Amino acid sequence: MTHELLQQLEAAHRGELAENDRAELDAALRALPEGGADAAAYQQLWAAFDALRWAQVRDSFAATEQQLRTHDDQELAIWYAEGQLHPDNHRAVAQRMATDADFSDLVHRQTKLTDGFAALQAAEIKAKMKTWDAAAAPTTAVVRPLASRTRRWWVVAATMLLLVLAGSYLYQSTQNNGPALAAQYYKQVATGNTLGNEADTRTVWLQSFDEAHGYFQQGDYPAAAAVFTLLTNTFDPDDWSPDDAKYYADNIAWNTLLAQLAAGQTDESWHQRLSQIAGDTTHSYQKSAAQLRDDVGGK
Amino acid sequence: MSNYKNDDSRLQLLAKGDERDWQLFYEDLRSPFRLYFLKHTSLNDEAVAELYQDSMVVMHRKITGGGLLPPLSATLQTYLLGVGKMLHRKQQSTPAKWDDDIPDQPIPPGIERAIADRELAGWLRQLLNQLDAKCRDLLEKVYLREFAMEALAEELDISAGAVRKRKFDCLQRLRSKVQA
Repeated sequence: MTHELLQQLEAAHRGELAENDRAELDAALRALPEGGADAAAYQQLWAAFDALRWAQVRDSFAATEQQLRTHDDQELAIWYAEGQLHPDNHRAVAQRMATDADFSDLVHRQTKLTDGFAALQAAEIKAKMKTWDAAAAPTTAVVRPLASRTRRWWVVAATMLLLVLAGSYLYQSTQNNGPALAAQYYKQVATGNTLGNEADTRTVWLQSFDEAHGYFQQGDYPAAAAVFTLLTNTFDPDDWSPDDAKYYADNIAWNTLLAQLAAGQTDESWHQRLSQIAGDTTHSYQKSAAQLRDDVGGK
Repeated sequence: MSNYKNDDSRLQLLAKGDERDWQLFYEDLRSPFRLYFLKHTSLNDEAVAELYQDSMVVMHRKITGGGLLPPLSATLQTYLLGVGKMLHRKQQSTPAKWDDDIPDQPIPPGIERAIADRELAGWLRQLLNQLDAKCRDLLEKVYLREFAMEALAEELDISAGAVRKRKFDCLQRLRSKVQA
């Protein structure tokens, strides 16, 4: 077959040949002894080039695919925890969890995190709603001055600590899952028990206790950590009945840890205090602390 | 005026066929595609990965062949999901329930068969390996990498007519291997 005829055949294969040229080509091919078989062979070659071209493109995608599988299980765990999978795929994940301990552990951790994020989101929404309430409050509300030197001291000390911690918080809060984990373990407490005289030490302490929990619920973890730390440092069990002393001491020790976790302030001392609570069977938050220690790697 | 300026820019890059751009595109849309089909269909992870690669090949063909041009009327992700839906519909006997408004995308003629015809591709690979390196290289550049005759003429430092002649010589040699 001549090059000219081959060129026409190729153009015909691509659908680029005019109808009369096509008729001339057919006639020329018929005139050749092996014209029909020859044309068919070339057409098969061009079809094979087409197939090979796309096979190569697909192979390059398949190679990329292999490099991208490292986080697939993590993603799958997230989608499972969020209930996003098709029922068949949801079942398949559950079945795999039954036989693959590592995967099962991953899914459990992810489920906790997902729940934690949901709780955190809810807490943030609540905090926002509080600000809306405050904005909608009547303008005739009385602005009360800070009542005592003690209270001023609390506020100034908390603010100073806050300033020191804020920088590291801004960086660390984007680097860890602390807020979600802390929100998962955090339990709201009854607040608003500050009915006494504001000058009274216990009343001031309780107001700050409420504030610390308020900061936590609003997602302001550095402030919560700062105030909880102050509460811990100034707590005097002799001011309280044995039951109250135990309740508040355990509560602030535990919530200091959670606030610091959420604020990304988990240093060696933090791990030591966590282990201490986890090992103290009389502590009100012993079980939660033991679980949290597992979650953060049992350092 | 386009509502999808970023996608239009990306489309223009992809149309050039650079492998790195396609790799990034593949990486970027993998998770959304995976979630979409793990959510709406009973395909398992492996099957979704296969479908994704097939859909990407179709997108590659459409885009590098000039079948999708800016300004886009939807995001590239929407187009890709539409291609995936169409391929899924053709490959699966059980239809999926799609609770979205992503339209199916037509598949360029022949591409589906070409993707599936890996046997034919393997056969050609064997034939090409029987050719001398110069001919193999030329045919690969012409038919697999779609070099223009002028570009090849410049590379080989010969006229476009000489390249055309060499191409058909090589094609005839390849044809002779089919007979053997």
